Amino acid sequence: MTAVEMEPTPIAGDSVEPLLKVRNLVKEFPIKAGFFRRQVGTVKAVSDVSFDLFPNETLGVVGESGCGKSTLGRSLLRLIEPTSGQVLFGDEDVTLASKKRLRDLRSDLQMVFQDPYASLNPRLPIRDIVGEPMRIHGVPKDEAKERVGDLLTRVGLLPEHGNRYPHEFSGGQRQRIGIARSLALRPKVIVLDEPVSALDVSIQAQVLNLLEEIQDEYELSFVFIAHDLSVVRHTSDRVAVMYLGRMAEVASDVDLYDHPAHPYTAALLSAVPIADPKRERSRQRIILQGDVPSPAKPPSGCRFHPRCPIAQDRCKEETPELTEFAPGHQVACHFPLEIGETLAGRMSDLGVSTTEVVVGDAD
Amino acid sequence: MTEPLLTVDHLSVGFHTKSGVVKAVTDISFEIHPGEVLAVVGESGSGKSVTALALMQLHPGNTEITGTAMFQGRELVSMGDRDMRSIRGSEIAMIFQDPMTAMNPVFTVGDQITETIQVHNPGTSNSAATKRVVELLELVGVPEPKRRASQYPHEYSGGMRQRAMIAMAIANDPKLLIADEPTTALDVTVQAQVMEVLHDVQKETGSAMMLITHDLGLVAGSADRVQVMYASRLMETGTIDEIFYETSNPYTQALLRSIPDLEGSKGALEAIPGNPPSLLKPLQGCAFRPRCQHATPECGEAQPTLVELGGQHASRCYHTDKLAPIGAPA
Repeated sequence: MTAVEMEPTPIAGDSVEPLLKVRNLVKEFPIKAGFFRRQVGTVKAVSDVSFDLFPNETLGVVGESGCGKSTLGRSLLRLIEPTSGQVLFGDEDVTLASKKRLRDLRSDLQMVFQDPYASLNPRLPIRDIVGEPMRIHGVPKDEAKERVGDLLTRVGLLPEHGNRYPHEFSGGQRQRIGIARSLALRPKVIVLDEPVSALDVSIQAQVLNLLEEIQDEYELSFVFIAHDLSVVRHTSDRVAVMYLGRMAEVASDVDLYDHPAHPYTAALLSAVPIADPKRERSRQRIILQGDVPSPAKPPSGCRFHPRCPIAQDRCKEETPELTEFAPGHQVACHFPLEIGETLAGRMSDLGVSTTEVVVGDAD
Repeated sequence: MTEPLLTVDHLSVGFHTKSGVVKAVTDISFEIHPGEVLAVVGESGSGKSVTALALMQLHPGNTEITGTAMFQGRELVSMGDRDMRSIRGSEIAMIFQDPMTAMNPVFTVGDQITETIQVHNPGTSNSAATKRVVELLELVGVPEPKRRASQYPHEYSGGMRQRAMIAMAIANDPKLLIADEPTTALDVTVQAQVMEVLHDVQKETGSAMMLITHDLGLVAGSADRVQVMYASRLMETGTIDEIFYETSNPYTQALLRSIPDLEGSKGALEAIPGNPPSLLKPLQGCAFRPRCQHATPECGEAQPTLVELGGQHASRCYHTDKLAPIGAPA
């Protein structure tokens, strides 16, 4: 193992014990081919990821498609078995829990999925969908029934809706049902995997507001996985940026958005369109070259180096570890941007053109 | 002002379904001028894509269309198949959201672009067409265009495929490009690349563009004029600054306020309560009334007309004067 043991520093004060500690988590999927289904390679979906989740905190996880953010989310709950590493909930390692114990643990660790059309059983009425976790965990029938009504009311539906089926609801309402289900067992942690990306903006705002309310009310911690950087900034206390299975940068939302240290974070932020024409006109955009490489053949050294506008020779050979850059601000880069330094500034210092758009090859 | 390239007049589109007629587009009129970018914004089901499909006669068979669309002296809605085919892909070209399903998987990308060229210019020799294909791929930033032309769509990444689709769309120097959510399937860094290409190409060829999108950020960065649609109707139209800084329709205003910004404002978002109305039943009064905070009894009686507000600005609302200016976000 090249991985170095490290303890991320909490920003919420050292006295606060993390609720969830993820250490050196790895998930690799075998690629099988041919008649005998021999393994011909591995997709390195999540490589050596470590982070902490504190009570009542929302940790945003952002990245482009294929960066491993959803695999990470599912691995936390062992909906996908991680290849190695630890997920410590309190003192208990979730990755070592027996089947029976895992069932108990999942009453504390819940998940809300992206697709509100695929994540609800079309043959069950809503009251059974929301009540199922309670049935499995042996909550008495009467109590469960009452709680289903309360939960539906809490997420902005009516108790009578319990008799209806998923197809009778719109996307936003279905996402509310998914949230009600995740709340049924009064969990401590909810992993939200792109909870609003399938929704229209007007509905998206409703669901984001609902999530915020229930977080306060139920004292929840969220792992909020999304590709939309504006949504993540709005909802998160701290943000982790992933690139090709690795953590590129982890910081408080203010530090990350206002002083990105990793060139990938800076480029990502500069690519986000802003709904303000005047600012759009005056903005200098750094457009990255090429596409995200395949996680089956990740580049050597820093996985971002082929697209990085400020990469040096060292980046091709040596993998940067996620290290403390400033208090509560970690970055995995050999040449991070200093506070106040912009990516465009660094590029012009290095004599790299900021306007020329060179397009790298897809493979 | 120059003669419009496209003049759409009272266009309505209805789909016959088992449960009745769905009014997907209701009485829409607009113009597109040569060289401009008109963004059509709206949420799913607002009728923005259907408008484009109806203009190109790409709608399904159960559709009823009324109204007219004059394109360079020719009427598109009533046009026969043969005439339409000669316009589609040459004078008006379309870029779809999903390049994987919009391309034919069993032909190489080069073959598909060649076909587009030769269908509309039957005299073009194979070698001339091949040369043009390589030029086009180079123009849209596909590296090693010669080798890439002989590859199949599945060998391209999402961003590259979208570039190839843009190359195909501009193969015959169209006067009007219709881009229907061209970057929605792409990641943000790739989206920035593709939008850049689209702009360069549009500048180079001087074509007008109808950009259909739900992303107000994309609109802010790329459009000249904006048209906001809601529940099959045109709610507000104007230049980009008029729409963003002198917003005169409660729906547009609510939409702009409901998106989180990158600046990190916390606290509750100003969500729009409720859901969009069903388009199966005829709507009484203003379509946005049930969700509108400015609604009065008047709004429920008759649909407001699209009122001219000076400049190119027009809004469909009785209470335009009561709206607080939204201004530029601080």
